[in-house]
Amino acid sequence: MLKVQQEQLSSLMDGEQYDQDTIDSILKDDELKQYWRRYHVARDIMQGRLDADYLTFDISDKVAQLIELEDLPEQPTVVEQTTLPTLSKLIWLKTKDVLAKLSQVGLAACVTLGVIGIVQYQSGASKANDIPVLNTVPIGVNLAPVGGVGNVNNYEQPLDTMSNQQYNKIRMLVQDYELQRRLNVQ
Amino acid sequence: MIQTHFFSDFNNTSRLSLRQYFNRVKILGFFFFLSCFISFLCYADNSNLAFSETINSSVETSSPLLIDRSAVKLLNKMKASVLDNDYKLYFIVQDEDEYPNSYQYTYVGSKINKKGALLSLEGSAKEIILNDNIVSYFLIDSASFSIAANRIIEVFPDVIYSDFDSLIPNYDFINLGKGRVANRSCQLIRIISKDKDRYSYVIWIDDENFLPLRIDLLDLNSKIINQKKVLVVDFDFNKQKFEDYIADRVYPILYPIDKEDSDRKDWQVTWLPKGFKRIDTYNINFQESNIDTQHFTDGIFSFTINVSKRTQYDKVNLSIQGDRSIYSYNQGNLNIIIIGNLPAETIKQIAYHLKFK
Repeated sequence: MLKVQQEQLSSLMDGEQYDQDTIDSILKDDELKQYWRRYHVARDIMQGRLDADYLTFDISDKVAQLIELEDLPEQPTVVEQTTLPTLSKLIWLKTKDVLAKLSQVGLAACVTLGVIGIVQYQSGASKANDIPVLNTVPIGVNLAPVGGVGNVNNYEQPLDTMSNQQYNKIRMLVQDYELQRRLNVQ
Repeated sequence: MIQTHFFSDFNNTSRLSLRQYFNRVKILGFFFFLSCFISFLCYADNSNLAFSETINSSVETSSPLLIDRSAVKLLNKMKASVLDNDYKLYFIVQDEDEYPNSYQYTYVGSKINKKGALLSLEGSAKEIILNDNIVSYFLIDSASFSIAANRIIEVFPDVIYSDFDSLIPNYDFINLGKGRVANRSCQLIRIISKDKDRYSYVIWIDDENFLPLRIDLLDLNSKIINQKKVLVVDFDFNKQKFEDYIADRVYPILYPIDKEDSDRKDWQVTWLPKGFKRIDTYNINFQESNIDTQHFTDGIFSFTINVSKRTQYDKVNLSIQGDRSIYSYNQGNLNIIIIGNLPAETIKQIAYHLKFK
């Protein structure tokens, strides 16, 4: 019976057969509906028309069924909570509350301290290593190319860490500094 | 179920909730302030770290006993001798980890028009000539030029010409005893800043003619980073010939110094090493942008602070070349470059204390 129906279903899908009775029987039978759906998915996949997320399992109705069936464990009753708490209980509740807050804040403070410590440690550690050194001829007693036209330092390329623009800017400012030192003699 | 549970709990405590709430606020506030305080302490400690290190690492600590008037007197004699005598020196200059260079310096200071000539004895024959309060730079590999100045600072550093009496509040002058250089007996004087935030000098002063025959620049660890050492002192050179030579030279044009006033008012210095004063404020044009520059000196050391709009090329950079430290960093949309003959730690301290509006 089922086999025949499946064949009918298949031919209906392919458009070879249009029979009102077959359609009615399919609509009545849940199993055949599932087959109808499955065939379509299979066909679409074979023809590459389907997105990957189409293939997700439809488990919603299964889950709903399971939830209905499941017997939940005994819930605590509300009754005991509605009784008025004693004074000692109140104090206990309060201290518990305060302790909880304390521990939260304490934890936050610890985290803050830790972060500060790490930052300090890292900044301390990086101090010594990460100093790119500008590689120019020290002017000192050198006759500095203060005139601006000079290309005394041009044979020394700046390090990669510094762009040409920054290098030129700093060189110009060093020249200005050296010039000002010479101009401002008393 | 869960919801009712929660609400019942809430109802229970609602009578106390106000007091409890205040308690919580108090405790939270207390801890907030505590953590703020702790983090502030850590921060302050961190920012002072570099500085305290430099203080601890400097080798000699000075006491008031070491302030030596005789040392100041001797230094004043040295300054007068450098300015007013006639002499010819042959000396070498050496930077740390570099080869020494040799120079000849001829000077006639006994007349009103003081004349001097510094000649490089090796490599290209670069020459610097002082005449009539103009210093001319004759450069071989770049354009020559002149500037208005009354001394050649390439010969003796600024410290030699200092007003030593005015430096007493900020510097210690320590007598280090006797030494010998250029076949002459010398008195050694150490000039070191009281705050130990600057380099220090050891000057070897000739016992007879008071010329400085050796000048050592020491870093904070008392390591020599630059040394000038006289090899030969000659008082009997041909002065007339020298003066004729100076008079016959053709001098390059005066370098135009037209300073623009600075137009930025959005930053200021809040900390300087003791004794430093601002001596100049001006504007530099660089690639169609303005760099606002302020120049500071304490009479021995100097530095400039240069503030300009930040560009994509400006990166944090610290470089140390001999006695010169260059520190570039960014603050907001500004780029700050500080250049000076100060230790990197001090330069960073100055940078750290800049205030921006």
